Amino acid sequence: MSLPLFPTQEIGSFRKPNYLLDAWRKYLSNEISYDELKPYIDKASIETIKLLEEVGLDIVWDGEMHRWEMYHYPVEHIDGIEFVGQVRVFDNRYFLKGRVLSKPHLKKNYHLGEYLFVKKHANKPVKIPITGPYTLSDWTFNEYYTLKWRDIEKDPIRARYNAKKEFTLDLAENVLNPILKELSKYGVFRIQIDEPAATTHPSEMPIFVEAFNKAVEGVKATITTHICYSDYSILLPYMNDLNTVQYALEFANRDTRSLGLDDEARKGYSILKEISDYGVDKEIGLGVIDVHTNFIEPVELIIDRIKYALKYIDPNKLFINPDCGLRTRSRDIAATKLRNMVKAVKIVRREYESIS
Amino acid sequence: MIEGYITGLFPRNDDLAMTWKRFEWRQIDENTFKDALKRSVKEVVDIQVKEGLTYVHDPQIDWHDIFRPFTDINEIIAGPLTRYFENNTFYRKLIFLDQPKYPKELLKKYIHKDAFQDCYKWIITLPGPYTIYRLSAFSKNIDKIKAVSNVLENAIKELHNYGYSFITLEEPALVYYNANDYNVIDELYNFIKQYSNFIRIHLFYGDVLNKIKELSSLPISGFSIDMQYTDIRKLGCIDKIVILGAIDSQNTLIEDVDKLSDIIINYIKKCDVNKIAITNNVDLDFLPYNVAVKKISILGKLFKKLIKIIE
Repeated sequence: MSLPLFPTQEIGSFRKPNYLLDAWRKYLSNEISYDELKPYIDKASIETIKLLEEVGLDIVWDGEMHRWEMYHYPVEHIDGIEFVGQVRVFDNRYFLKGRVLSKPHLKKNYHLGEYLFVKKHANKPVKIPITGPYTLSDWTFNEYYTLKWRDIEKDPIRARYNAKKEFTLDLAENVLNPILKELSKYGVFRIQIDEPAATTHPSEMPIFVEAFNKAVEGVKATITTHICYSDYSILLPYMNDLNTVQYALEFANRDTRSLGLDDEARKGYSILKEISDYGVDKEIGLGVIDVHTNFIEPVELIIDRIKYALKYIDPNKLFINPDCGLRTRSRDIAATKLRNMVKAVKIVRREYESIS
Repeated sequence: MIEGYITGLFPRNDDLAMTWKRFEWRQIDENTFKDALKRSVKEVVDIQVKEGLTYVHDPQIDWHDIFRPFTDINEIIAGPLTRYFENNTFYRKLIFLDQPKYPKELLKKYIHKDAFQDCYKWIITLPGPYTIYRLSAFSKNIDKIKAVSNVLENAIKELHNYGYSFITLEEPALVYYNANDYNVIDELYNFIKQYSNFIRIHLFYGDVLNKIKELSSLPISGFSIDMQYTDIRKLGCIDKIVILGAIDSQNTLIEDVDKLSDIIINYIKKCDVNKIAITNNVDLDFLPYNVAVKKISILGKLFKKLIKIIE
């Protein structure tokens, strides 16, 4: 499937319509069955695909309508991990966090059904976002492996490291790899492995890389990755080691709203120079939309962000996206932000195509 | 002598988190919200009292993050969401737009004095000066050291006046400080040295075995050390109050009190320590509420066991 210059994409999540949020809440509190929830999911999924296509994105997904959220959904389908309670992410936002009590095993391929559904209803190329093994492991309280390694290893620091490593590699091998291999048999266009936790523990970067590569081993599909709200200088030395063609990264959150192509105005994008200097030979998914504010990025600001990135990134390797999933914004605001993003890309695309 | 107390922000219970959302959505009025907040504070205070801890920590459950109250200062705004060290919890980076002018009683609205029993000694946690310095953004031409020191000196003074027994300064950035910054650290702490008996610093998210000697000259009364990252069997003796972050706030796994007390007693014997304290290694805010409550109970058990052994 061919893509235009500077392909536009969403990262994954999109705000669920109220009727689906209500249905999900009822399902989670056991008031309705999954069969009763499913029609609402299907309706919202189709609406979101159509909305993202109408907005003009080149690569689409359904805004993760089939999932309550990116951690809850996989954990629901993995034996060995159970939910233990809500933990704060920021401000008054929480997620339901699990703890691992035994070796994790896949109950069923939880991505296949949603992928086939989206594929059937989308007219544009589809990219499926999937939570990666390191993030799943890092966001889970590690009881089982900690207990195991405390008995084997007396040094508490090495014990903790080994417990994390074994848990993460088990997730990569026993949960993620079978899912990805099966998806690739259905001709999936792009699989985006979401690893927002990647750089959380700098000393564990080798675990992250090994687990990622184990998860995608033998998978015949284009693999991309998304990492956000992270210290990318920690990621930099490992960027060429990961078996991914793309890094979709968050920048707008840390940028200014001033127009301009100078380093001061575009301070949120400063790592791009280092990525270029380091010789990272990957596509970059450029986050140009801040998903944590209702501020509508003007087209001119997005153009400047793209043009600044083009100082350092090969135009043929530049994709344009929001920083992260837009589920934190209302559907109207998210769509308005995306429309400006698409408008900006069209302008820059025209300029580049006329030059070449 | 041994002390036991909790440190850092405590998690909101599910009801309070939902009440908070409903208040933001304007489904309930401010009085209803404040009543719920007051009840929740009281609940966490009562748990600490019940477990017989030496000090009662203000739960700080109305702080969105450890830095947030400082954004009430006109010259400081809440910036981008940023990961708080080795966590999936994020804070808003402080952005200093200008030299801050600390208002009168900045922290008063965050203090829940009425929840505390008069007979109890109470404590609270603030971010340390070097952590604020490293984790904030500053407009050009701002004297960074002066800006941070002004805020912190005034905050400490204010809390001192409210009658807290001491303040813990969270200083995870000190674990990673680079040698070029030593003068900065020295200067930052120089501003608050008149409160040295009132300040303990909490070092976490890293191994401090190789840092502790250099940091021991700081004008503070005690260091707390994260036992998940620092092997205290290798820790030398320190000429300050040693506070051991024994309770793991990053794992739901419940600690083995006997094993922990053996390790701690060995350290006490090795260094002939005359004042030691036990606490949690990082903020209990990183745990679900019910688990955090259990962890206070484990801390209480460990504390009682250590008292018994030492006596």
